[in-house]
Amino acid sequence: MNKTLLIILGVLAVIILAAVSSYNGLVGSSQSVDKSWADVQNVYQRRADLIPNLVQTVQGAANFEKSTIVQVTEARASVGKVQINQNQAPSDAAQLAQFQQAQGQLGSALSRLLVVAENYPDLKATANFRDLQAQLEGTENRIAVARKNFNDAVQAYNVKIKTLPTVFFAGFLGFQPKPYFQATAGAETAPAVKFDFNGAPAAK
Amino acid sequence: MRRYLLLLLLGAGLSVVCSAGAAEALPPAPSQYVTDTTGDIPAPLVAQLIQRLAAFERQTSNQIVAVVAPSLPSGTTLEDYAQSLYHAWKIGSKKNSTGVLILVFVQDRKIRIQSGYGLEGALPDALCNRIIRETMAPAFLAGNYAAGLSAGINAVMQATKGEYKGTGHTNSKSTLKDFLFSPLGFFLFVFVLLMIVSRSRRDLGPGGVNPGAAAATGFFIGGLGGWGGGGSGGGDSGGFSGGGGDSGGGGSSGGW
Repeated sequence: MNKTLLIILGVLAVIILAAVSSYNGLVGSSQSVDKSWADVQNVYQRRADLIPNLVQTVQGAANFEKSTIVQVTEARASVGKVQINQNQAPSDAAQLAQFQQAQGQLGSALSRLLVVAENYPDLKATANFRDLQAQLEGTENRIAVARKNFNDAVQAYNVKIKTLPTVFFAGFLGFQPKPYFQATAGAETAPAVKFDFNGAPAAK
Repeated sequence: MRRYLLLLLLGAGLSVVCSAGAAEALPPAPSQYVTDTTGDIPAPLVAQLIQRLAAFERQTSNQIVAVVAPSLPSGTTLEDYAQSLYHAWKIGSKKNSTGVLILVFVQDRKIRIQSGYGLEGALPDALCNRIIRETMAPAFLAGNYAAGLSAGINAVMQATKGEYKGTGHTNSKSTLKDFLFSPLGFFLFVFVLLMIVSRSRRDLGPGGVNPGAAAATGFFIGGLGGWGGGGSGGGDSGGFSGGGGDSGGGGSSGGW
Protein backbone atom coordinates (compact mmCIF):
# COMPACT_ATOMS: atom_id res chain seq x y z
CA MET A 1 0.00 0.00 0.00
CA ASN A 2 1.14 3.49 -0.77
CA LYS A 3 2.49 5.12 2.36
CA THR A 4 1.83 8.72 1.26
CA LEU A 5 -1.77 7.89 0.49
CA LEU A 6 -2.22 6.50 3.99
CA ILE A 7 -0.76 9.64 5.54
CA ILE A 8 -2.98 11.88 3.45
CA LEU A 9 -6.03 9.82 4.38
CA GLY A 10 -5.05 10.01 8.05
CA VAL A 11 -4.63 13.78 7.97
CA LEU A 12 -7.95 14.15 6.16
CA ALA A 13 -9.67 12.01 8.76
CA VAL A 14 -8.26 14.16 11.56
CA ILE A 15 -9.38 17.35 9.84
CA ILE A 16 -12.88 16.02 9.25
CA LEU A 17 -13.16 14.86 12.86
CA ALA A 18 -12.03 18.26 14.11
CA ALA A 19 -14.48 19.99 11.78
CA VAL A 20 -17.36 17.81 12.95
CA SER A 21 -16.62 18.37 16.61
CA SER A 22 -16.16 22.12 16.04
CA TYR A 23 -19.44 22.25 14.19
CA ASN A 24 -21.29 20.41 16.95
CA GLY A 25 -19.78 22.63 19.61
CA LEU A 26 -20.72 25.77 17.68
CA VAL A 27 -24.27 24.59 17.13
CA GLY A 28 -24.60 23.95 20.86
CA SER A 29 -23.29 27.39 21.81
CA SER A 30 -25.36 29.07 19.17
CA GLN A 31 -28.48 27.34 20.48
CA SER A 32 -27.81 28.50 24.00
CA VAL A 33 -27.42 32.07 22.70
CA ASP A 34 -30.79 31.72 20.97
CA LYS A 35 -32.34 30.33 24.12
CA SER A 36 -31.12 33.19 26.25
CA TRP A 37 -32.32 35.57 23.54
CA ALA A 38 -35.79 34.09 23.88
CA ASP A 39 -35.58 34.73 27.62
CA VAL A 40 -34.67 38.35 26.92
CA GLN A 41 -37.70 38.66 24.65
CA ASN A 42 -39.91 37.13 27.31
CA VAL A 43 -38.98 39.56 30.02
CA TYR A 44 -39.31 42.57 27.72
CA GLN A 45 -42.72 41.27 26.69
CA ARG A 46 -43.62 40.88 30.33
CA ARG A 47 -42.82 44.54 30.86
CA ALA A 48 -44.84 45.61 27.83
CA ASP A 49 -47.81 43.59 29.11
CA LEU A 50 -47.81 45.48 32.39
CA ILE A 51 -48.13 48.86 30.73
CA PRO A 52 -51.88 48.96 29.87
CA ASN A 53 -52.76 48.14 33.47
CA LEU A 54 -50.28 50.68 34.77
CA VAL A 55 -51.56 53.41 32.47
CA GLN A 56 -55.13 52.66 33.49
CA THR A 57 -54.24 52.81 37.17
CA VAL A 58 -52.41 56.13 37.02
CA GLN A 59 -55.09 57.65 34.83
CA GLY A 60 -57.51 56.94 37.65
CA ALA A 61 -55.57 59.29 39.87
CA ALA A 62 -56.85 62.81 39.85
CA ASN A 63 -54.87 65.21 37.64
CA PHE A 64 -52.12 62.75 36.85
CA GLU A 65 -49.51 64.41 34.68
CA LYS A 66 -50.58 63.51 31.16
CA SER A 67 -47.28 64.00 29.37
CA THR A 68 -45.61 61.13 31.24
CA ILE A 69 -48.43 58.78 30.31
CA VAL A 70 -48.18 59.86 26.69
CA GLN A 71 -44.42 59.26 26.72
CA VAL A 72 -44.89 55.74 28.05
CA THR A 73 -47.52 54.79 25.50
CA GLU A 74 -45.49 56.29 22.66
CA ALA A 75 -42.35 54.48 23.77
CA ARG A 76 -44.27 51.25 23.95
CA ALA A 77 -45.59 51.76 20.45
CA SER A 78 -42.10 52.41 19.08
CA VAL A 79 -40.82 49.23 20.72
CA GLY A 80 -43.43 47.34 18.75
CA LYS A 81 -42.13 48.85 15.52
CA VAL A 82 -38.65 47.40 15.88
CA GLN A 83 -38.60 44.37 13.62
CA ILE A 84 -36.61 41.66 15.31
CA ASN A 85 -36.56 37.90 15.16
CA GLN A 86 -38.05 36.48 18.35
CA ASN A 87 -36.46 33.07 18.12
CA GLN A 88 -33.01 33.78 16.83
CA ALA A 89 -30.44 36.06 18.39
CA PRO A 90 -29.64 39.02 16.14
CA SER A 91 -26.47 38.71 14.12
CA ASP A 92 -26.41 42.38 13.19
CA ALA A 93 -25.02 44.74 15.84
CA ALA A 94 -26.99 47.70 14.46
CA GLN A 95 -30.24 45.77 14.73
CA LEU A 96 -29.57 44.86 18.34
CA ALA A 97 -28.60 48.47 19.10
CA GLN A 98 -31.87 49.68 17.60
CA PHE A 99 -33.84 47.19 19.68
CA GLN A 100 -31.93 48.17 22.77
CA GLN A 101 -32.49 51.87 22.15
CA ALA A 102 -36.25 51.44 21.79
CA GLN A 103 -36.44 49.35 24.95
CA GLY A 104 -34.21 51.82 26.75
CA GLN A 105 -36.59 54.66 25.89
CA LEU A 106 -39.51 52.68 27.24
CA GLY A 107 -37.52 51.90 30.39
CA SER A 108 -36.72 55.53 31.07
CA ALA A 109 -40.28 56.65 30.28
CA LEU A 110 -41.51 54.09 32.83
CA SER A 111 -39.10 55.11 35.52
CA ARG A 112 -40.01 58.75 34.94
CA LEU A 113 -43.64 57.81 35.41
CA LEU A 114 -42.83 56.09 38.70
CA VAL A 115 -40.90 59.14 39.86
CA VAL A 116 -43.80 61.42 38.99
CA ALA A 117 -46.15 59.07 40.82
CA GLU A 118 -44.28 59.94 44.01
CA ASN A 119 -46.12 63.26 43.91
CA TYR A 120 -49.50 61.57 44.15
CA PRO A 121 -49.82 60.17 47.69
CA ASP A 122 -53.37 58.97 47.14
CA LEU A 123 -52.31 56.96 44.12
CA LYS A 124 -49.27 55.53 45.88
CA ALA A 125 -51.41 54.36 48.76
CA THR A 126 -53.60 52.14 46.60
CA ALA A 127 -52.83 48.42 46.73
CA ASN A 128 -53.19 48.17 42.99
CA PHE A 129 -50.49 50.72 42.31
CA ARG A 130 -48.15 49.18 44.86
CA ASP A 131 -48.55 45.76 43.31
CA LEU A 132 -47.92 47.19 39.86
CA GLN A 133 -44.84 48.98 41.09
CA ALA A 134 -43.49 45.77 42.62
CA GLN A 135 -44.19 43.91 39.37
CA LEU A 136 -42.43 46.59 37.34
CA GLU A 137 -39.40 46.54 39.63
CA GLY A 138 -39.30 42.75 39.47
CA THR A 139 -39.52 42.86 35.71
CA GLU A 140 -36.71 45.41 35.41
CA ASN A 141 -34.61 43.12 37.56
CA ARG A 142 -35.48 40.14 35.38
CA ILE A 143 -34.49 42.16 32.34
CA ALA A 144 -31.11 42.88 33.88
CA VAL A 145 -30.62 39.18 34.67
CA ALA A 146 -31.75 38.01 31.23
CA ARG A 147 -29.47 40.51 29.51
CA LYS A 148 -26.52 39.40 31.58
CA ASN A 149 -27.25 35.75 30.80
CA PHE A 150 -27.54 36.63 27.12
CA ASN A 151 -24.20 38.44 27.12
CA ASP A 152 -22.59 35.51 28.93
CA ALA A 153 -23.92 33.08 26.33
CA VAL A 154 -22.75 35.33 23.47
CA GLN A 155 -19.36 35.63 25.08
CA ALA A 156 -18.98 31.86 25.35
CA TYR A 157 -19.96 31.56 21.70
CA ASN A 158 -17.66 34.33 20.48
CA VAL A 159 -14.73 32.95 22.44
CA LYS A 160 -15.34 29.57 20.88
CA ILE A 161 -15.31 31.06 17.40
CA LYS A 162 -11.99 32.77 18.00
CA THR A 163 -10.09 29.99 19.73
CA LEU A 164 -8.39 26.84 18.51
CA PRO A 165 -9.29 24.59 16.85
CA THR A 166 -12.74 26.01 16.09
CA VAL A 167 -11.30 29.22 14.62
CA PHE A 168 -10.18 27.24 11.55
CA PHE A 169 -13.70 26.08 10.77
CA ALA A 170 -16.08 28.74 12.13
CA GLY A 171 -15.90 31.07 9.12
CA PHE A 172 -15.96 28.23 6.66
CA LEU A 173 -19.03 26.70 8.32
CA GLY A 174 -20.84 30.04 8.33
CA PHE A 175 -20.64 30.95 12.03
CA GLN A 176 -20.23 34.68 12.57
CA PRO A 177 -19.56 36.47 15.88
CA LYS A 178 -22.73 37.73 17.56
CA PRO A 179 -23.25 41.22 19.04
CA TYR A 180 -23.65 41.96 22.75
CA PHE A 181 -25.98 44.23 24.65
CA GLN A 182 -24.06 47.41 25.36
CA ALA A 183 -24.22 49.04 28.76
CA THR A 184 -26.67 51.87 28.19
CA ALA A 185 -25.31 55.35 28.66
CA GLY A 186 -26.65 56.74 31.90
CA ALA A 187 -28.15 53.43 32.99
CA GLU A 188 -26.10 53.59 36.18
CA THR A 189 -27.47 56.97 37.20
CA ALA A 190 -30.98 57.39 38.51
CA PRO A 191 -33.35 59.11 36.07
CA ALA A 192 -33.53 62.84 36.55
CA VAL A 193 -36.86 64.20 37.66
CA LYS A 194 -38.09 66.46 34.93
CA PHE A 195 -40.69 68.94 36.01
CA ASP A 196 -42.94 69.72 33.13
CA PHE A 197 -44.15 73.22 33.95
CA ASN A 198 -45.58 74.08 30.54
CA GLY A 199 -47.33 70.85 29.82
CA ALA A 200 -49.87 68.63 31.47
CA PRO A 201 -50.88 70.13 34.83
CA ALA A 202 -52.16 73.34 33.28
CA ALA A 203 -53.92 71.45 30.51
CA LYS A 204 -55.35 69.15 33.17
CA MET B 1 6.07 21.17 16.82
CA ARG B 2 7.38 20.97 20.33
CA ARG B 3 7.23 24.71 20.73
CA TYR B 4 3.64 24.70 19.53
CA LEU B 5 2.71 22.05 22.05
CA LEU B 6 4.39 24.02 24.79
CA LEU B 7 2.40 27.10 23.82
CA LEU B 8 -0.80 25.09 23.89
CA LEU B 9 -0.01 23.82 27.36
CA LEU B 10 0.84 27.32 28.52
CA GLY B 11 -2.45 28.60 27.13
CA ALA B 12 -4.39 25.87 28.88
CA GLY B 13 -2.63 26.61 32.15
CA LEU B 14 -3.30 30.32 31.80
CA SER B 15 -6.96 29.83 31.05
CA VAL B 16 -7.31 27.75 34.21
CA VAL B 17 -5.61 30.47 36.26
CA CYS B 18 -7.77 33.17 34.70
CA SER B 19 -11.04 31.39 35.31
CA ALA B 20 -10.04 30.75 38.91
CA GLY B 21 -9.19 34.42 39.40
CA ALA B 22 -12.34 35.69 37.74
CA ALA B 23 -14.67 33.87 40.12
CA GLU B 24 -16.43 36.32 42.41
CA ALA B 25 -15.77 36.06 46.08
CA LEU B 26 -19.20 34.97 47.22
CA PRO B 27 -19.82 33.30 50.54
CA PRO B 28 -20.11 29.52 50.21
CA ALA B 29 -23.54 27.96 50.35
CA PRO B 30 -24.78 27.74 53.93
CA SER B 31 -25.15 24.32 55.49
CA GLN B 32 -28.45 25.25 57.09
CA TYR B 33 -31.70 26.80 55.91
CA VAL B 34 -31.39 29.70 58.33
CA THR B 35 -28.15 31.52 59.05
CA ASP B 36 -27.80 34.49 61.36
CA THR B 37 -24.44 36.18 61.70
CA THR B 38 -25.72 39.18 63.62
CA GLY B 39 -26.90 37.49 66.81
CA ASP B 40 -30.23 39.28 66.54
CA ILE B 41 -32.19 36.07 66.11
CA PRO B 42 -32.25 33.84 69.22
CA ALA B 43 -30.55 30.47 68.63
CA PRO B 44 -33.57 28.37 69.71
CA LEU B 45 -35.73 30.12 67.11
CA VAL B 46 -33.09 29.54 64.42
CA ALA B 47 -33.01 25.85 65.32
CA GLN B 48 -36.78 25.65 65.25
CA LEU B 49 -37.00 27.38 61.86
CA ILE B 50 -34.35 25.07 60.45
CA GLN B 51 -36.33 22.06 61.57
CA ARG B 52 -39.53 23.40 60.05
CA LEU B 53 -37.85 24.27 56.77
CA ALA B 54 -36.25 20.82 56.52
CA ALA B 55 -39.68 19.26 57.06
CA PHE B 56 -41.07 21.68 54.48
CA GLU B 57 -38.55 20.55 51.88
CA ARG B 58 -39.37 16.89 52.52
CA GLN B 59 -43.02 17.65 52.08
CA THR B 60 -42.99 20.09 49.16
CA SER B 61 -39.46 19.98 47.65
CA ASN B 62 -39.30 23.76 48.16
CA GLN B 63 -36.04 25.00 49.59
CA ILE B 64 -36.38 28.23 51.54
CA VAL B 65 -33.08 29.74 52.62
CA ALA B 66 -32.89 32.74 54.93
CA VAL B 67 -29.75 34.70 55.75
CA VAL B 68 -29.57 37.49 58.30
CA ALA B 69 -26.31 39.42 57.97
CA PRO B 70 -25.01 42.77 59.20
CA SER B 71 -24.57 44.58 55.88
CA LEU B 72 -24.45 44.24 52.13
CA PRO B 73 -20.91 43.97 50.70
CA SER B 74 -19.78 47.27 49.21
CA GLY B 75 -19.85 47.72 45.45
CA THR B 76 -22.94 45.61 44.88
CA THR B 77 -26.66 46.18 44.87
CA LEU B 78 -29.19 44.17 46.84
CA GLU B 79 -30.72 42.74 43.66
CA ASP B 80 -27.39 41.80 42.05
CA TYR B 81 -26.13 40.23 45.22
CA ALA B 82 -29.29 38.20 45.78
CA GLN B 83 -29.19 36.96 42.20
CA SER B 84 -25.50 35.98 42.47
CA LEU B 85 -26.07 34.17 45.75
CA TYR B 86 -29.12 32.36 44.46
CA HIS B 87 -27.28 31.26 41.35
CA ALA B 88 -24.20 30.16 43.29
CA TRP B 89 -26.13 28.31 45.97
CA LYS B 90 -28.43 26.59 43.45
CA ILE B 91 -31.49 26.79 45.68
CA GLY B 92 -34.43 24.57 44.78
CA SER B 93 -34.72 21.41 42.76
CA LYS B 94 -32.86 21.17 39.48
CA LYS B 95 -36.00 20.27 37.60
CA ASN B 96 -38.31 23.01 38.86
CA SER B 97 -36.08 25.52 40.67
CA THR B 98 -38.38 25.45 43.66
CA GLY B 99 -36.51 27.79 45.91
CA VAL B 100 -36.76 31.09 47.74
CA LEU B 101 -33.91 33.16 49.15
CA ILE B 102 -34.67 35.61 51.95
CA LEU B 103 -31.95 38.13 52.73
CA VAL B 104 -31.99 40.58 55.63
CA PHE B 105 -29.25 43.16 56.10
CA VAL B 106 -29.77 44.61 59.54
CA GLN B 107 -27.48 47.65 59.39
CA ASP B 108 -28.65 48.60 55.91
CA ARG B 109 -32.28 47.98 56.97
CA LYS B 110 -32.85 46.08 53.75
CA ILE B 111 -34.83 42.96 52.93
CA ARG B 112 -34.98 40.93 49.73
CA ILE B 113 -37.13 37.95 48.88
CA GLN B 114 -35.84 36.29 45.71
CA SER B 115 -37.91 33.60 44.06
CA GLY B 116 -36.64 30.74 41.92
CA TYR B 117 -38.04 30.14 38.45
CA GLY B 118 -40.45 27.47 39.66
CA LEU B 119 -42.03 29.56 42.40
CA GLU B 120 -42.57 32.75 40.43
CA GLY B 121 -46.18 31.69 39.98
CA ALA B 122 -46.93 30.86 43.59
CA LEU B 123 -44.90 33.76 44.89
CA PRO B 124 -45.28 36.64 42.44
CA ASP B 125 -43.31 39.85 42.90
CA ALA B 126 -46.30 41.74 44.23
CA LEU B 127 -46.82 39.12 46.94
CA CYS B 128 -43.11 39.22 47.90
CA ASN B 129 -43.47 42.96 48.15
CA ARG B 130 -46.51 42.64 50.40
CA ILE B 131 -44.82 40.11 52.64
CA ILE B 132 -41.89 42.48 53.08
CA ARG B 133 -43.99 45.59 53.55
CA GLU B 134 -46.87 44.27 55.61
CA THR B 135 -45.48 41.25 57.42
CA MET B 136 -41.77 41.72 57.95
CA ALA B 137 -41.02 45.45 57.93
CA PRO B 138 -43.38 46.45 60.79
CA ALA B 139 -41.77 43.92 63.14
CA PHE B 140 -38.28 44.91 62.05
CA LEU B 141 -39.16 48.56 62.56
CA ALA B 142 -40.19 47.75 66.11
CA GLY B 143 -36.83 46.02 66.63
CA ASN B 144 -38.43 42.60 66.87
CA TYR B 145 -36.22 40.86 64.32
CA ALA B 146 -37.08 37.36 65.47
CA ALA B 147 -40.80 37.88 64.95
CA GLY B 148 -40.25 39.61 61.61
CA LEU B 149 -38.10 36.84 60.18
CA SER B 150 -40.33 34.10 61.52
CA ALA B 151 -43.48 35.73 60.14
CA GLY B 152 -41.83 36.32 56.78
CA ILE B 153 -40.75 32.68 56.47
CA ASN B 154 -44.25 31.59 57.51
CA ALA B 155 -45.82 33.74 54.83
CA VAL B 156 -43.49 32.38 52.16
CA MET B 157 -44.22 28.80 53.25
CA GLN B 158 -47.93 29.51 53.22
CA ALA B 159 -47.77 30.86 49.66
CA THR B 160 -45.63 28.10 48.20
CA LYS B 161 -46.79 24.98 49.96
CA GLY B 162 -49.30 23.75 47.39
CA GLU B 163 -47.10 24.18 44.33
CA TYR B 164 -45.11 20.95 44.17
CA LYS B 165 -44.95 17.63 45.93
CA GLY B 166 -41.90 16.66 47.93
CA THR B 167 -39.95 13.44 47.74
CA GLY B 168 -40.06 12.71 51.46
CA HIS B 169 -36.44 13.61 52.00
CA THR B 170 -34.25 16.67 51.68
CA ASN B 171 -31.61 17.07 49.03
CA SER B 172 -28.90 16.50 51.65
CA LYS B 173 -29.87 12.83 51.95
CA SER B 174 -27.26 10.61 50.39
CA THR B 175 -28.53 7.91 48.14
CA LEU B 176 -26.89 4.95 46.46
CA LYS B 177 -27.13 6.70 43.11
CA ASP B 178 -25.39 9.79 44.42
CA PHE B 179 -22.67 7.57 45.79
CA LEU B 180 -22.09 5.71 42.54
CA PHE B 181 -21.88 8.99 40.63
CA SER B 182 -19.58 10.67 43.13
CA PRO B 183 -15.86 10.53 42.24
CA LEU B 184 -15.06 8.29 45.20
CA GLY B 185 -17.92 5.93 44.46
CA PHE B 186 -17.03 5.72 40.80
CA PHE B 187 -13.38 5.06 41.59
CA LEU B 188 -14.28 2.33 44.06
CA PHE B 189 -16.68 0.79 41.58
CA VAL B 190 -14.10 0.64 38.78
CA PHE B 191 -11.45 -0.58 41.18
CA VAL B 192 -13.61 -3.42 42.39
CA LEU B 193 -14.64 -4.33 38.86
CA LEU B 194 -11.00 -4.52 37.80
CA MET B 195 -10.18 -6.64 40.83
CA ILE B 196 -12.95 -9.08 40.06
CA VAL B 197 -11.95 -9.38 36.43
CA SER B 198 -8.25 -9.84 37.10
CA ARG B 199 -8.82 -12.35 39.89
CA SER B 200 -11.24 -14.48 37.97
CA ARG B 201 -8.85 -14.59 35.03
CA ARG B 202 -5.92 -15.69 37.14
CA ASP B 203 -7.44 -18.52 39.14
CA LEU B 204 -10.01 -19.95 36.84
CA GLY B 205 -10.35 -23.07 38.91
CA PRO B 206 -12.96 -25.62 37.86
CA GLY B 207 -16.14 -24.93 39.85
CA GLY B 208 -16.35 -23.46 43.33
CA VAL B 209 -16.66 -19.86 44.38
CA ASN B 210 -13.95 -17.52 43.27
CA PRO B 211 -12.47 -16.31 46.55
CA GLY B 212 -10.99 -13.15 45.09
CA ALA B 213 -14.23 -11.99 43.55
CA ALA B 214 -16.15 -12.77 46.69
CA ALA B 215 -13.70 -10.80 48.77
CA ALA B 216 -13.84 -7.87 46.39
CA THR B 217 -17.62 -7.83 46.36
CA GLY B 218 -17.64 -7.96 50.11
CA PHE B 219 -15.21 -5.07 50.22
CA PHE B 220 -17.38 -3.04 47.91
CA ILE B 221 -20.55 -3.65 49.85
CA GLY B 222 -18.72 -2.95 53.07
CA GLY B 223 -17.51 0.34 51.65
CA LEU B 224 -21.01 1.29 50.61
CA GLY B 225 -22.38 0.47 54.02
CA GLY B 226 -19.72 2.49 55.79
CA TRP B 227 -20.23 5.47 53.55
CA GLY B 228 -23.98 5.36 53.78
CA GLY B 229 -23.84 5.21 57.54
CA GLY B 230 -21.63 8.25 57.74
CA GLY B 231 -23.68 10.26 55.28
CA SER B 232 -27.19 9.76 56.47
CA GLY B 233 -27.29 8.46 60.01
CA GLY B 234 -30.95 7.52 59.92
CA GLY B 235 -33.13 9.51 57.50
CA ASP B 236 -31.40 12.62 56.21
CA SER B 237 -29.00 14.98 57.86
CA GLY B 238 -31.54 17.80 57.67
CA GLY B 239 -29.07 20.44 56.53
CA PHE B 240 -29.44 22.57 53.44
CA SER B 241 -27.83 21.40 50.24
CA GLY B 242 -28.65 23.20 47.01
CA GLY B 243 -30.64 21.10 44.56
CA GLY B 244 -29.46 22.77 41.33
CA GLY B 245 -32.16 25.41 40.93
CA ASP B 246 -31.75 28.91 39.53
CA SER B 247 -33.55 32.23 39.55
CA GLY B 248 -34.31 34.71 36.81
CA GLY B 249 -34.36 37.70 39.10
CA GLY B 250 -37.91 37.42 40.42
CA GLY B 251 -38.95 38.66 43.82
CA SER B 252 -39.00 41.98 45.55
CA SER B 253 -36.87 44.27 47.67
CA GLY B 254 -37.80 46.48 50.54
CA GLY B 255 -36.68 47.80 53.86
CA TRP B 256 -37.78 49.26 57.14
